Amino acid sequence: MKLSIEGLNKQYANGVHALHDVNLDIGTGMFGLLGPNGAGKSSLMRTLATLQDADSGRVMLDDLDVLKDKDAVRRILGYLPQEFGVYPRTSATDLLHHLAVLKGFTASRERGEMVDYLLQKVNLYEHRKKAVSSYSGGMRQRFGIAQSLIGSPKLVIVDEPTAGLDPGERNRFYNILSEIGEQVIVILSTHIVQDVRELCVNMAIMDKGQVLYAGTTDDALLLIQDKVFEKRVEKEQLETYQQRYKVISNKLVGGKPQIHVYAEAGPGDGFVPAEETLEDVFFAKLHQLI
Amino acid sequence: MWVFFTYEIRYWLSRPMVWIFLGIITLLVMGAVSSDQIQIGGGVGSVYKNAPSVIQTYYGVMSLLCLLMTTAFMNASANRDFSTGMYQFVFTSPIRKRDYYFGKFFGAALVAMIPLLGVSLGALIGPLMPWAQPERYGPIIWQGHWQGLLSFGIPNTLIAGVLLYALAMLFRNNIVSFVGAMLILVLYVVSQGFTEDLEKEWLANILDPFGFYARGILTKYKTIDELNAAATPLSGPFLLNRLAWLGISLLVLLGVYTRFSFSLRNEKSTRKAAGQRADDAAGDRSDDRSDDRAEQALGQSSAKLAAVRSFAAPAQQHFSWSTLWHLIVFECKAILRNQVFVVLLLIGIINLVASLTSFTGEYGLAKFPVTYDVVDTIRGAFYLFLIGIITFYSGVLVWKERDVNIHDIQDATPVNSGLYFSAKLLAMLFAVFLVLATAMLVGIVAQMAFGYTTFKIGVYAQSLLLLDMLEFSYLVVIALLMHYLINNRYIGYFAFVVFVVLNSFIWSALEINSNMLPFGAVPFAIYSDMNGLGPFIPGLVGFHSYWFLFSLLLCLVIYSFFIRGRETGMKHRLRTASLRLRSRSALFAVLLLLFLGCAGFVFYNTEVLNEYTSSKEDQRRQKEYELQYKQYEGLAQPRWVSLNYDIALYPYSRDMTFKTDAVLVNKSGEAIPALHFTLAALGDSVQIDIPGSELTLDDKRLTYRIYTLAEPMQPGDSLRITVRASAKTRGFENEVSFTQLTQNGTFFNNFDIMPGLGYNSNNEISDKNRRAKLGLPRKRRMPVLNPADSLTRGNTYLASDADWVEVHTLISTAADQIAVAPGSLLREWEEGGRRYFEYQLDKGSMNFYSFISARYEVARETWNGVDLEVYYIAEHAYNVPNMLNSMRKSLEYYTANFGPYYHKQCRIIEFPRYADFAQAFPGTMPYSEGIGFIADLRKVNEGEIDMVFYIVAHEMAHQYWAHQVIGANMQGSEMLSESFAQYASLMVMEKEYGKDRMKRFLRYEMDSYLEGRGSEFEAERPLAMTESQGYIHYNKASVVLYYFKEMIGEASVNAALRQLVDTFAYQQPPYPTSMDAMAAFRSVTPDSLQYLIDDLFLNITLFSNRVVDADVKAVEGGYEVSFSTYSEKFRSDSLGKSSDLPLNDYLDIGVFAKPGKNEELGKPLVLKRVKVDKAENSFVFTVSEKPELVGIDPYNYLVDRIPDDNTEKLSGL
Repeated sequence: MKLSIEGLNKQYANGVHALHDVNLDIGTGMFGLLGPNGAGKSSLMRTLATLQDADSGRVMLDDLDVLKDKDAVRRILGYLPQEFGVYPRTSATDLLHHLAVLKGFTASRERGEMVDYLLQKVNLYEHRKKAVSSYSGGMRQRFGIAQSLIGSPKLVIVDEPTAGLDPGERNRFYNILSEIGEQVIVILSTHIVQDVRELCVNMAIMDKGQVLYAGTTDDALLLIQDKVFEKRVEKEQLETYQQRYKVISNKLVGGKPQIHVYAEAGPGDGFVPAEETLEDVFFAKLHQLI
Repeated sequence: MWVFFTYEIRYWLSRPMVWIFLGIITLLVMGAVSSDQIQIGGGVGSVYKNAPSVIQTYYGVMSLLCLLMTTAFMNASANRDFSTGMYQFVFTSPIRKRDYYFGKFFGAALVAMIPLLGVSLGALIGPLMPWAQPERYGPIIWQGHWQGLLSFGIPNTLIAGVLLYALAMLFRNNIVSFVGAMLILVLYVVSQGFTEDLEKEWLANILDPFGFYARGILTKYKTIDELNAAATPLSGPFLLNRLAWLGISLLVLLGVYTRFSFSLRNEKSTRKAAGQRADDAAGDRSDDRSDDRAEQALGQSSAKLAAVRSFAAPAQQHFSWSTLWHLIVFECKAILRNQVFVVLLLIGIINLVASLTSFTGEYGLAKFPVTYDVVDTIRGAFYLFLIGIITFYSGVLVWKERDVNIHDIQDATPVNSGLYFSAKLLAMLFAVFLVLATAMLVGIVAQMAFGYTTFKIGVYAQSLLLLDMLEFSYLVVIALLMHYLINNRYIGYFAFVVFVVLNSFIWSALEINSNMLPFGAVPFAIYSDMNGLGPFIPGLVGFHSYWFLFSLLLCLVIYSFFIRGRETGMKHRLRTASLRLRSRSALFAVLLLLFLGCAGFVFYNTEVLNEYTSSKEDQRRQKEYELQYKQYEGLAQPRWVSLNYDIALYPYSRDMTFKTDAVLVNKSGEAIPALHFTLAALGDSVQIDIPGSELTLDDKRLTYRIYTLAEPMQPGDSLRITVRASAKTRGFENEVSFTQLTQNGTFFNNFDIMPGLGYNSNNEISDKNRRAKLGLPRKRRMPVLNPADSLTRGNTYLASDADWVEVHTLISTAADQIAVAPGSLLREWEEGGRRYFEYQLDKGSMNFYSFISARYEVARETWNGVDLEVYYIAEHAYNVPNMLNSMRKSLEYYTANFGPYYHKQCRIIEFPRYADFAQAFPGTMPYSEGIGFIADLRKVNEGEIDMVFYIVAHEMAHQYWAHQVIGANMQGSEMLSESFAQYASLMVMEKEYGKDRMKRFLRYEMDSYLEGRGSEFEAERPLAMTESQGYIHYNKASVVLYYFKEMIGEASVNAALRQLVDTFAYQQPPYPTSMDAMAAFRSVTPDSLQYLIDDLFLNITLFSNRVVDADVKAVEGGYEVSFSTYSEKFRSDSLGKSSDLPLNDYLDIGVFAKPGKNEELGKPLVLKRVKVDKAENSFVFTVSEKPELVGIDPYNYLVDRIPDDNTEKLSGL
C-alpha cells in the first residue's frame, strides 16, 4: 500500500499558506511527520482525513483518489485528532459503541466483542463504565486511540497524540501504536523529535507549509554526521557565538547555555564533537542550515 | 460598596446593550403611541394615546417584557467574574462580601431600569410623528411618567432583579437564570388566570408580584375622563401590593446574601476534581504496575496482547436502517435527557394545568371541559413553549458535535451526510410529537379531574397529533434550514425568530391573503361536535400537501448545505451543495414536479375555481358602496309582505338552490319607478325576475342592482317577483367563506340569501377611527331619538324593507336530516331519496328568520297547545330537560303577564360552534353548541347561576320584545327589545331560584356595565337613548329594571309592559320608541317615585354608598346594632365627567344573619326602605338573632362604583 501526495496546496481565508506544494510518498508502517507549531502538520492530517479540501494537488492511496472519493477513504480510516472532546456523562463503552455504529458495525454482538477487545488493548477495560469526560489526560488519549482502531483501518492518522502526557503515559501510548499491524499506514505527527526517532523508520520534516526533508531517519542523521560540535559558554557570549558560527540549538545545562553548531570541520575554540541526534537535524533544517 | 456599584454602572453604560434595549423600547412605545398598528397591553379606545394612565400601563407592561433584559443584566453582572475566570483574582483580594454583593446588585438594577425610560421617551416622541393624528393626544402630564416609574418601573425591576440575581448567584448557570425568568413570567400569567372569576379577587391581588392586578382593581371602573387626567396613584391595595412585594424581595436578597460565599462553588469543584483525579491516578498507577509486570513477564503478556484480532467492517451499503435508527435514538436522547428540556416542559405543563383549572365562561359559570375546548386551551397555553423548545433545541442539535469538539471524529466516519441530517430532523420531530402527546395526556387527566369522561381521543389525535404536528414540522424544517445555511449559532437563532415573527404579520401588511405564500399557512379550521372538521377538510388536505412537499424540498436544500468537515467558507459550501444536489438530482426532480403539480392544483382551487377578497379590499368596497349609493338612502321602495321559499339543501356536498316567490307592496305613498336591490353575500348568479322591468344597473362588484319598471308602482300597488340563486361548493377555498352551509348543522337566515330592497346603511364602515382614516364623514351610531320624526319611525331598527310578513317554506334536505323553517310543520314526506318539509308561519312576523338542517334528535312537550321542542345532537343531551323547563316557565310567566303567544311552537335548535351566540327568531331560537348545550350545571344548586335557564328565558322573552313589540330605528329602541327581555328573564329566574341568587347575577351585570363605561369609544348614553351599546341595554338594564321593580313593584312594571304589548304588538308603522315605554312607566309610578324614571332611564346616575363603621353589642333580649353610612349621588355626562346631585332617594338598609353555605347575605333581620336626603346617616337597631352583616343598598340595586363597600361584616362579639 502506498499513499502518494502530489503538489498539495492550501491557503486559508485569512491568508495563511498552510500547505505549499507538498510532495510525499508514504508506505506501510510508522511514518513520522515532524515540525514546529504552525508548520502545517494538522492541515495535512485533516486533508488526508477528508475533513478539508486542498486548493490544488492530488492524493492517491493506491488507486483511491483521496480528495475526491471521501466516502471510500472514511471506510478504511482511523483518525485521532489533535484536540477532541467527548459527550458528557457517556461511558467509554457507550461512546465506543456509538462510534462503531457510525463506522458501520451495526451487528451488536460482533460490535460488543470488538469494543471489549479494544478497551482491553488500551488498558481501559476496568474503567470502561466511567464517563470518558472524567478521564485523566492519558486515559483520554488511550480512548482516542481505541476509537481510531475500530474496524481495523488501513490508514491511521494520529495528530500530536502525546502533547500533555507524562513520560510513562507516552510510552504506553506508543506501545499500543507499535502493535498496529504491519500492513497499515500509520502517520504520526508530533513536535517531539525523540518520538520519531524511537518509533519511525520513515519521516518528513515540515515547516511553514513546506516539506524540508523526506526520507528515513537514518538518512537524516547521515546529513549531519560528524558535522555537529558542542560547547558550554557563558550567557553573555551567546550573541557573539551566534554571529560567528552556525548555531543549531542552544540548551541550558546546569544553568549555563550549551550550544550545538554545524560546521564542515571542527571549529576548535573549545568545541568538541557531539553525537548527532535527530534533533540537530531538525533544528538545522528549520534554520535552513543544511 | 460604592466601588462595585459605580463599576457596574460604568461597565454597562460603555457597552451597547443598554442603549440597544433603550432604543428598542423607545421605538416600540413610540409606535404604540403614534399608531394603532402596535398595541401594548391592549387597545386604548377613546382615551388619549399619551394619557397618564396609558403611560403608566406601558411602564407596567414594559417592566414585564423587560424581564428577559433584566435577566441578561443580572446574570452577566453576577457571573462575570466566574465566567471570565477573574474570580481567582477578585476573591483573593481584601474586599468585603457585602460590598461586592450589594454593590453589584444595585448597580445592575439601576442599569436595568434605564431601558424603561424608553417608555417616556417614546410617549413624548410619538405625538410628533408625521403620521400621528393630533386629536388623539392630550397635554403632557408628568404625573403619568413618574407615577409609572414609581409604581411599576422601579419596583418591578427590583422585584424581578432580586429573584434573578439570587438565581445567578446561587447557581451561576446561564440556563438556570433563563429558565428562572420564564418561570416568573409563567407564574405571573397563572395568577392572571384567576382574575376571570371575581370570587378570588383578593387572592389574585396577593399573587401578583408586578402590581398589574392591584392597579386593575382601582382602574376597573374609571371613566375616559378620569383615565385622561391622571395615572393611578399608589394607594389602597395597589400600595399594599407594591410594599409587600418589595419587602419580600428585600428579604430574599438578604437571605441569599447569607448563603453567598466567595469560596462556595470553588470548593465543591476542587473537592470533586481532586477526588476524581485521585481515583484516576490510583487507577493509572495500578495500570502502570500491571503493564510493567506484563512487560516483565515477556512471553505471557505479549502472547496475550499479540492476539491482534482483525475486525473487518461489514460490506458497506450506502444506507443502513439500523444506523439511522441508532442515530435517531442518540439524537433524541440529547434532547429528552437534557435538564433544560425537562424544566421547560414542566413550566409549560404548569401553565397548561393552570389554564385548564379555570374553565369558566361568563358569570363565572363552568362549562364541561369538552375535548375541543381543552385542545384550544392547550394551543393557547402551551404552544409558545413548544415554539421555544423548537427554537432552542434545533440549535442544540445542530451544534451538538461541535460544542463538545467531537465533530472531527464524527465527520471522518463513513456515514452519509444525509443520514446525519435525517437523524437530527427525525429526532426533533419525535421530540415535538412526544411533547404534544404529553399535553394530550395532561388534557385527559384534567378532564377526568372534572368528572368528564368523554375523551374523544380521535379529536385529540386529529388536532394535536396530526394537524398541529404538521405545522410544527414545517417550523422544525425552517429552524434547521436557518442553522445549516447560516453557520453561526446566534445569528441562526436570530434569523429563525425573525423569520417566524415576520411571517406572522408581514403578509397582511402587504395585503396578501392567499395561504400559499405565508409559510406553513393553512385555512382556518374549527372543530364542531356536530360536524367534525367537515367543511374545512378539503382545504386542509390541499394546503398541507402543498407545504409538506415544499418542506421536503427544503430538506433537500438543507442536506446540500449540511456542514461536515472543516471547510466552512461559503464558496466551498456552495460547491459541495451543488455536488450533493446533483447526486440526488432524480429525487430533486421528482419532488419538484410533485410540488409544482400540487401548487398548481391548490392555485386552481383557491384562485380560479373560487375567489376571495382581502379585508382591505372589503373595506374599500364598503367605502365605495357608501360613496356611490348613499344617495339612494331613504328612497321610496316597496316592502316585502309575503315570501314563499322553495329551498333545496344538499348538505353533504354543501350545495343549495332556492327560488323565492315574493309579493311586494308599495306602502310609501308615492310612485316608485325603479326597484333597487343590495344583494346578499351568498349566491352565484342571483336572478331576480320582475315582470315588466329592465335591469338598468348591475354593479357586480358592489352588489347593487336597479331594475327600472316599465310602469311605475303606484301607492298601494303590489308586485310579484321571483328571486333565484344557487350556491355550489367547488373544490376548496383559500378560507371557507360560508360555514353556514355545511354537512351537519346548516344554519343560515334570510338575509344570507335574499337581497334587500334599497340602500343598506348597515353595510357602511362603522368604526369611527377607520372612517376618519378613509376620509368618510362621521356617522351616528343610530338616528337621534325623536318621537316626532315619523319618517324615521316608519322603520324598525332591524330592516327598512319590511314590516310584518307572511312566510311559507318548502325545504328539502338529505334523507337522514331534519330541516326546520319558520312556523308550523304542515307536511313532511320522502321522495327521490330526499326528505321534504313544508312550513308556514302562524302569524305575520318580522322579516328575520332562519333555515336549519341537521341530523337532529328532537325532545318535545306540549304546554297549553304550544309545542315546546329542542333539536339537538345525541351527544349534547344533558341540558335539554333544563331548556324545556325554562321554555315552559317562561311561557307561563309571559303569557300571564304580557299577553298571548301567537305561534304554535317554541323551538330551540342547536347549531355548530362556528358562531357562538343564541338568537331569537319568530317561534325559533337557534342556540350555538358552544354555549348552553355544554354548560356544566352540576354546581347550580350550590349557588351558581343557571346560564342555560337564563339564556332560554331571555330568548323566549324576545318573542314578545322584538317579535311583537319592535322599536323604531332610533336611539333607545334596543331598550324595548334587549332590556325588557333581560327584565323578563330575570323575573322568571327569580321565581325559579329565589332572590338571593339574583344578587350574584346582578353583581356580574353591574361589573360588566362599569367596565363597559371604561372602554366606551364614543359617548355613553342614558338607557332610554342607548345606541348599540350592549353594556347599557343588557347589563345596566338588568340592574336598573330590577331596582325599578323593587321600588314600584313587579305588578306595576308588568302592567306598564302589558300596556306596550296591547298598544304596539304587530302594529304597522310608525313604530314605538323608548319614550312610549317611559310614558307607560310614568302611568304606573306613584308621584313620589317619578324621580326614578329620570334617574334610571333618562340620565346616567351613579351612587357611592358605603358603610363607614359598624358596631354590635349584646343587650338584654338580643343584640344592638349601630352603623353609619355615607352616600353620594352623581350625574354623569357622556364622557364620564360627573357632577354631584343632592340626595333625595329611597335606599334600602339592612341587618343580616350569617349567610348560609352558598348564600351571599343571609336572612334579613332588618330590611327597611328609608328616604335618604343627606350624605351621612346612622342607624341603630335591636335584633333578636345574632347579626353578621350590615349594609346600605345591600342587594346592590343602585349603580355603585365600588359595590363591595355597601356591606360590612360586624365584629366585636
